[in-house]
Amino acid sequence: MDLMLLISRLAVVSCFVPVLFFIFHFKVKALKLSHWTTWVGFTILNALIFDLIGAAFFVFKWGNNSLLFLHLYTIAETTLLAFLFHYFFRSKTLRFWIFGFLILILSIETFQLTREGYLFQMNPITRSLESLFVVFFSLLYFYRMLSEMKVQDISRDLMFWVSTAFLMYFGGNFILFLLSDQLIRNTPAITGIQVFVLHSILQLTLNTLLSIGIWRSSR
Amino acid sequence: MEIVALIVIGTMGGLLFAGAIILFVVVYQRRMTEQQLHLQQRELDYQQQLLSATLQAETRERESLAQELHDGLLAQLSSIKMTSQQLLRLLPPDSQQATDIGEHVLSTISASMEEARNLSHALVPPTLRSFGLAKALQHFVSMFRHAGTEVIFNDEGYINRLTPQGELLLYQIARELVQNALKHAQASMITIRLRQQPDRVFLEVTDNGKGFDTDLVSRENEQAGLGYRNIRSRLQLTNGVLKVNSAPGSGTRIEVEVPFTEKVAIAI
Repeated sequence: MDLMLLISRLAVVSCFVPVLFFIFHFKVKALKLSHWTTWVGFTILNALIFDLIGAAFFVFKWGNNSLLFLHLYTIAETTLLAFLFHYFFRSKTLRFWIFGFLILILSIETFQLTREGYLFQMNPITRSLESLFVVFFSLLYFYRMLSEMKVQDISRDLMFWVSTAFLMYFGGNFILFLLSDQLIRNTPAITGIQVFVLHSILQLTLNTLLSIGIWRSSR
Repeated sequence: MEIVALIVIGTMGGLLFAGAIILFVVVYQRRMTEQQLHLQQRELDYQQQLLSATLQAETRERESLAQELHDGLLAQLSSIKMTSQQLLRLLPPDSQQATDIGEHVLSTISASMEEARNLSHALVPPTLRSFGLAKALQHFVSMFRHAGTEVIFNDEGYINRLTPQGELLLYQIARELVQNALKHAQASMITIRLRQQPDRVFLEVTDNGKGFDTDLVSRENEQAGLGYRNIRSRLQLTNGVLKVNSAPGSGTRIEVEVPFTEKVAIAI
């Protein structure tokens, strides 16, 4: 149990690393909102803020559960990722699909919010849809990279590391997100926490890969 | 517990799927990049071979033309000159008008011979062919002895020889740079230095002329930069480098560096 706790805490702390790397390595570049790397920065900052809120929630015992913030986090994260892909893929058709996907996820989330007690429950449908959305566009990036062959050294390509990190995190978490509600309802709390260590490991992987990507691409 | 097992298997499956895709992407991308680099290298090699063949053909053509001029046209002109001299001697002493015409013909023949000789030397200097680059440059600067501009040549240890093409290339570059200094920079003193390191030859041409803004020449004045571009493109064949140092009012220093590679192999 100690190891699991350590992994969970490390996962929270690891959110600081890509944010600090981003600030340190991109401080000299005047990034504009229209540049997709800005949205990478917003996405990792968003993850850090919500992780800190979640941690504070447990430390200061603000309520029964912090799932309210998960809903807000999902909305914020999906929107930021949609903007990231929007500025990265410049094709009109893809942009249409990106915002179509975003509207679909936000609509489902909004509709679900009208259900009684939903604010304090998991959001398996929207989280799984978000995972599919990100996995799809990460794969699309790989396809484009291999078909265009414009990137000579992938280890210095930020989008390669971002897509790798997203594919590992969202691909690995898809089933967990999909069955998260069932898991909480049908298993003892301790089992749920143990299973969510998988999520912490994937979060550590995500933050490590993003940090490597930011560090390598800025050199 | 079924749900836990499902989640664990699902997560592992998702990770395996992601890992397999990433591995495929990395391996495929690396192979494609290697292929691309290989193709680019082949294209570069082909272009260098083409350039090399062109330069060799040009050198051969120059040598053949110089030979033709020397052995053909010059020999014929020499024969005409001798015949004209004999004809002049046969003229009666009182035919002044005929003598004047004959002397005019003789001086025209002499001028044509001088021009043909100069042209033959300009194509491939005989000194370069027989004694190499250092002697040829020495001979080249001696032609400026009475020209009002001091042109100095310093041989600072050019021992090994380049191929005839390589030496002709450096000779032509030196000649063009000196002519540029005289024509555009109005220099009163020009120095040519030739030195070598174990793996490369350096040719340096310095003048005390009016100099120029190197950025401006390459950016705005295409015609002025054309000479340097030509030199650079010819040097590409030998993997050589051209370095231009100049500023308005500070003279110009141009350094040409040619490595001893297979294409400019040492002849001796």
